[in-house]
Amino acid sequence: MEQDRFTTQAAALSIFTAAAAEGLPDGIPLRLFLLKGLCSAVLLTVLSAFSVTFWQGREQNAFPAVAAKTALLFLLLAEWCTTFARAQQVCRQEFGSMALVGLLPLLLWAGWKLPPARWNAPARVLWWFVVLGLLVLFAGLAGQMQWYRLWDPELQAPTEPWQVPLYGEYLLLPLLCPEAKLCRGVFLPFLGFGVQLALAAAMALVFGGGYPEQELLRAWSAGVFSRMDALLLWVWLTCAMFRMCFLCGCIRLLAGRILPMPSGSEVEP
Amino acid sequence: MQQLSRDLAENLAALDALFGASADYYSKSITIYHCRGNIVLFDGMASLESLWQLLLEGASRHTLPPEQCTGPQVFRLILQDSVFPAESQPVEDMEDLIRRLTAGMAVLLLDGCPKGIAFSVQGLKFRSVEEPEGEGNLRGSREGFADLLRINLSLLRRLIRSGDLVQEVAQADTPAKTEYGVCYCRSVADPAMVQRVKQLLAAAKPEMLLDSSYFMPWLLPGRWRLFVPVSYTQRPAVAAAKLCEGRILILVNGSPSALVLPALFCENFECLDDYASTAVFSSFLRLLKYAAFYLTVFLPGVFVCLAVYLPELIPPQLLYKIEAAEKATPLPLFAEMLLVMLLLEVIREAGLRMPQSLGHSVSLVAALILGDAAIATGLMSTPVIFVASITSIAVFVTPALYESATLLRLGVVLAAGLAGPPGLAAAFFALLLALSGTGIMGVPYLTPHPFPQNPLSEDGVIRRDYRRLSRRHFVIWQKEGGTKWNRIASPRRRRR
Repeated sequence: MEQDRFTTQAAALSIFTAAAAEGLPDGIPLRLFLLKGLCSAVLLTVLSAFSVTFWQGREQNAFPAVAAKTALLFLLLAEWCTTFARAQQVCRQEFGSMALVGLLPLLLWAGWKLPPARWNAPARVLWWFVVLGLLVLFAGLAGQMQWYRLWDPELQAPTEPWQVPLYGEYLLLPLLCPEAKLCRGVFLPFLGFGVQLALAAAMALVFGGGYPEQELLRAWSAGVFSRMDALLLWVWLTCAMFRMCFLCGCIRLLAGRILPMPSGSEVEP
Repeated sequence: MQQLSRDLAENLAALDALFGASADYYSKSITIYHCRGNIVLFDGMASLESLWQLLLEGASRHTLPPEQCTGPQVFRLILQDSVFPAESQPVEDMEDLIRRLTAGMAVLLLDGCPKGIAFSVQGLKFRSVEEPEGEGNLRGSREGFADLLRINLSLLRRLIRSGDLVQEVAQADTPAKTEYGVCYCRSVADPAMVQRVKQLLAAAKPEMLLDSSYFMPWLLPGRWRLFVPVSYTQRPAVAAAKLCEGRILILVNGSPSALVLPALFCENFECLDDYASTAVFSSFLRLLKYAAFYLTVFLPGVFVCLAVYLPELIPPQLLYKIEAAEKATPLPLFAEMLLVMLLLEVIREAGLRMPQSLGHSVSLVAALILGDAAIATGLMSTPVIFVASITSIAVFVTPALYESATLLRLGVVLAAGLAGPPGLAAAFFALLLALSGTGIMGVPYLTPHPFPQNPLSEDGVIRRDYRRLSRRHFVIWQKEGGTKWNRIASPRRRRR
């Protein structure tokens, strides 16, 4: 049974990857971002907790459960496409490479064929790369941060509506992770919020607003090494590849719940 | 199965048909206790001198009345009522007879008796117990396994002096009927897994069995893999330590290499010296070994990726030097790197297979003259040769991972050269998946908490002092939750 479950660390890495690539609202004051983001995170946590109750309590073959699974399947497919599009954009714009398209069949094959448990160890290793990358990023930006830019009084609230970042992982936890980890898992929306908040705060501290997020990487500088944006983007790209495989695995799990596959099709770990 | 006949001549005729043409087959007619008999043995495998002392001296003694000297009576007298050091199990059939003879025993066949008596008078010539060349150590035992199975078993028995050690010997299902031994410690090895290994080995039908590694396709059937979750050792001390941790050891007659299963990835970075030196120094060495392994796998690929696709990440001073060196060479950097790596592999293979006296010369000529000439003629650039040389040296820090590291390095260079950063990321993924998917008998090759999440365990990437480690005994078959075989126990201890 453990073979067909992800760990919360794997789900968290997937959410981190998506949140790091999520664009920030244009010119939003940090205070307002903090307030709205916190409310969104609480709301999503409640929704996540509700989904746990829903999946645990309901008859899995009942119509509402099947309908919910089908809806989530489409949500995951949409997220997969979004992740691929963003990764491809990074490859094309930053690395001048279309190789991700060539690697796509391999990623799809690996995500579909390998049991979920196989992705847990890579997730843990990638988390360390992420932490290392964040430390490098902070070390290169620390000298450029100005505290007075943090609460810029001139920034006005944007007119466009606030978008709550909803990822499929929030609603699929009981199907993806072991039951023992669910208590921790329902707080994953706070991770997504934390990532976005850190990004918004760093943008505010370095630029004071009004720049695209990738400029943060380009502003990096330390000694003889003047550029490290490609390295940090490479870490994100690796995480994006992981997310594509992870979402493939999720889709396979969900599809298996909607249309149970013959036992022979199960992959031997 | 052909039974032995009561008629001595018939038995001898059968043996003649089998071995008569062989120069080493020795057969001598004797009379012992007034009974006609025949001694058969293989010259060079059995010692005639020992045989004389044991048997022929007694053959002249006529202590029984002639009427009582029938074959069965003499057989009983020699086997049960005399001081002759005969093997307790009589030879029952032709297959058993051949097995004893090829083991270096002498067999006495008596007229009128359908059984033979075997005498352990082995005089086999064998390589002595020497220090193994492939596993260098500064401290600890200098003994290495020899080629003969029985000697290797005795070396293990000498180190584990308790009834816990079980050493079972069987014949492989091969035309050559090679013997192999399965060793384990009864109290710590998992009985089900021992049984499974024995069944797999009994069912194996290798065409030839010249080394314990020949069993691998039967132990791990059917899947391609980059990493093999077993280890090999030629040191009885290491083998004994592994046995005490519950592992299973397979020895094959004629090979000094013992197969240990299951093995862990982290054990490739440990050695016997680790436990003889201080914890701080051995931890430092282990960190170096990990760094060397990842360096050897990724450095050429990362270099190609950076120089070709992401030159902005390289500091300007270094970039100018690489650029200047590359301008002078005709090949693109990616192809140059591949070429140098393949050349180094050819040089290594040539140095390994040539006679030892020539091997050093070949390595020297290749390394100094060829390398220097390649740069001087402008065929290759210094940075590429420098990077390839570093990786070639670094791989020897973890010799057990040589095959995996070489294949991975080539794969990483190809991926990084052809696909750039996405290819490098994909190669990295492939490594992680290959590591996390490897395992044998339910024991994963990689810990569930890989580096660097679990570096501070008692005996992991770094280790604590031996006194603290000795408080808890590490056994590889640890049950987690009572349902799943899992080797993880933290804190834990491993011994090499």
